[in-house]
Amino acid sequence: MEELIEKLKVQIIKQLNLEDVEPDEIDPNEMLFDANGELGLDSIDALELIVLLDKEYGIKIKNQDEGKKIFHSLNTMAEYILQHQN
Amino acid sequence: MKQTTTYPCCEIKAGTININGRVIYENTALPFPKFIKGAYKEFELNYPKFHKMDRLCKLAFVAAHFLLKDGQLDGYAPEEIGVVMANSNSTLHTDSKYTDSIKDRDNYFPSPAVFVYTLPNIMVGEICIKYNIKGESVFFVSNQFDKEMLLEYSQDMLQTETAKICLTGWVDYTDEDYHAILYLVNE
Amino acid sequence: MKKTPIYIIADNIISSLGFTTKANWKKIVAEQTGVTCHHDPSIYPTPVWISKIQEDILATKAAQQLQSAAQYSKLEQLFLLSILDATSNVSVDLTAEDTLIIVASTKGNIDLLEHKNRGKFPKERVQLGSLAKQVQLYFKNPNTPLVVCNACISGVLAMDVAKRLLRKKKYKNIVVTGGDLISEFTLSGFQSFKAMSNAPCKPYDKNRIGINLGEGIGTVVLSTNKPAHQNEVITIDGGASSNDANHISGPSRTGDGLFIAINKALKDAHCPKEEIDYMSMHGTATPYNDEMESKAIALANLQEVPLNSLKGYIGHTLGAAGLIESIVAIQSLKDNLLYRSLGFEELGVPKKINVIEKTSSKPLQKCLKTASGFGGCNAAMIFSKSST
Repeated sequence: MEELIEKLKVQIIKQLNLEDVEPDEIDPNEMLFDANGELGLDSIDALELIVLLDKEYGIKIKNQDEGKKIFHSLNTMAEYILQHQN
Repeated sequence: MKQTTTYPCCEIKAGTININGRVIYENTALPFPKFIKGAYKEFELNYPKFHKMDRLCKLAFVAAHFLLKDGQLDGYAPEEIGVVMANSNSTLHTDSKYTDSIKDRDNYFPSPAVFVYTLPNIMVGEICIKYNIKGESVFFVSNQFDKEMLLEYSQDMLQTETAKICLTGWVDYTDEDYHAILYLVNE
Repeated sequence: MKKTPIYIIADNIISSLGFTTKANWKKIVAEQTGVTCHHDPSIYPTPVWISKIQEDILATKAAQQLQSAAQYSKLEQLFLLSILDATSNVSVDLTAEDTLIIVASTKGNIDLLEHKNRGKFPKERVQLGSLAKQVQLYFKNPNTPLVVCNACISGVLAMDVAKRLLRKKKYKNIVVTGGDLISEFTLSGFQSFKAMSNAPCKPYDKNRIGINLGEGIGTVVLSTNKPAHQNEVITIDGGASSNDANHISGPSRTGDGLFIAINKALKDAHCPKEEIDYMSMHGTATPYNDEMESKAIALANLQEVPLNSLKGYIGHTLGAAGLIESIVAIQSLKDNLLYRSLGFEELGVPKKINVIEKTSSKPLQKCLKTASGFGGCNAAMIFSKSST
């Protein structure tokens, strides 16, 4: 899990083009889409994360509402990947 | 037509930022992404969304910054501010980047964050968001930069009271070259 | 001060429903849709619900009507055919100094940039200015065409640009043509946005899930000269645009951007809102767009006015949408006929609006057309019918 979270941090920074963010600055428990949060992610970023899960982990998310739960934080994302990866 | 030289103007090309005829930043050795990021840091633009923008938007955004940063739009209602912009290559650089992502069916991951920048009026949108501009806007594409036409169009917006002030100009980006020149048409 | 009247003296629509305004209107009145399920791996890996122009008819028409048809890309052929048809029955001299051509398109010849099509045409033809130049040269027009590239409001905005230039007396006649193709580029892009519906779209409906893309061309011939020998004329009375200043891809959550455009257009037209008989909306059938429109309508206090979206008939034709939908709205004015908003069953937007559920007759004089698009842009325009 820890290892996956570290990997995800790097992948998210790359996929979302967060040039000035260092992996250590992302708290695994912090809400990714909090408007006042560090990352300031928005709806396009949520779609990019769906692409990331497909591209890197072969996981397809059909329902966007489902995405909201999965992308709550890095922890929830990692848990989802572990449960759904083949 | 009014003497165009009297409008506040910012021009960015060939590694140089020029305000009203005066060079304020120069770094001709750097490729565009590093040059524009250098300017962003030097002048402390401090706008996290900047990093997600494509190159064309970054170019437009930095040029607009120098014309609007000192409260030049204060006193105007959001819907009184217009934007008239143009270029020749639309969003060719990002279009090419996007088409590369769909050329291979076995590795087919179209990126929404890239696709959204495949419309040239997105740079108008980015500037409107930053400066809370809600007035009339239009984006033209033409092979040549027709300064007279753009300024005349903006002046007509002012004369017909469609707008009271207008950000007007040209922002073009290709792999080979880039050029931004923006005016603040205020009378 | 009275503004210069701008007459809409001729028009053409090319879409999946046909190659003339008349052909399109006939199918709309009969409530037939051009949106169907296509499984064409050359444009998208999986089946998609779209509205496509019939290729075989296009090929025949291009060969019959155009000189050196093979020199032109598919989109260029469509622009030429549309302008030829629109100008066939009016006495507008396309070669005159006081005639201008304005082209509206979001992506122009973008299909030529796709790897599978590279090398088929000179590289510069992906530039919108070069595409417009082909149109200009074909009709031997002396003026460099203007190209309006402003996302999904391009069509309405191009007419508003024409309005400004005609009022300023820079030209006497302006041909405004707008078009976009269905390409792998746009299909995959909208798909990546999860914005596409996997069934015919349902504007304003409770169960709407997204758009159907469409391809099409719309052309109007605008003139400051009043057309002779007609009992009634259609005019552009006013128009305006605005920006949400909120988000580059999502519509405003309040509708205030579109509200600003509607208000400004009414003011420009000297038209009290009570005089609007009908509204031809953008209605893409994405959850957020339709929601935003209902809020703007409520802000403008226009919730009682009957409205529809054409998207259920020919999908979202991007740069052509504003033109095609305006031409169809003008047909409604001419025939005093409001067509059913196809796909709508049960209201699913937060503010009450009056969606047309049944194609029916009603005396009509003035209509409002709106459009909204990526980049937070909105546009609105007022058309009216008057007897001469």
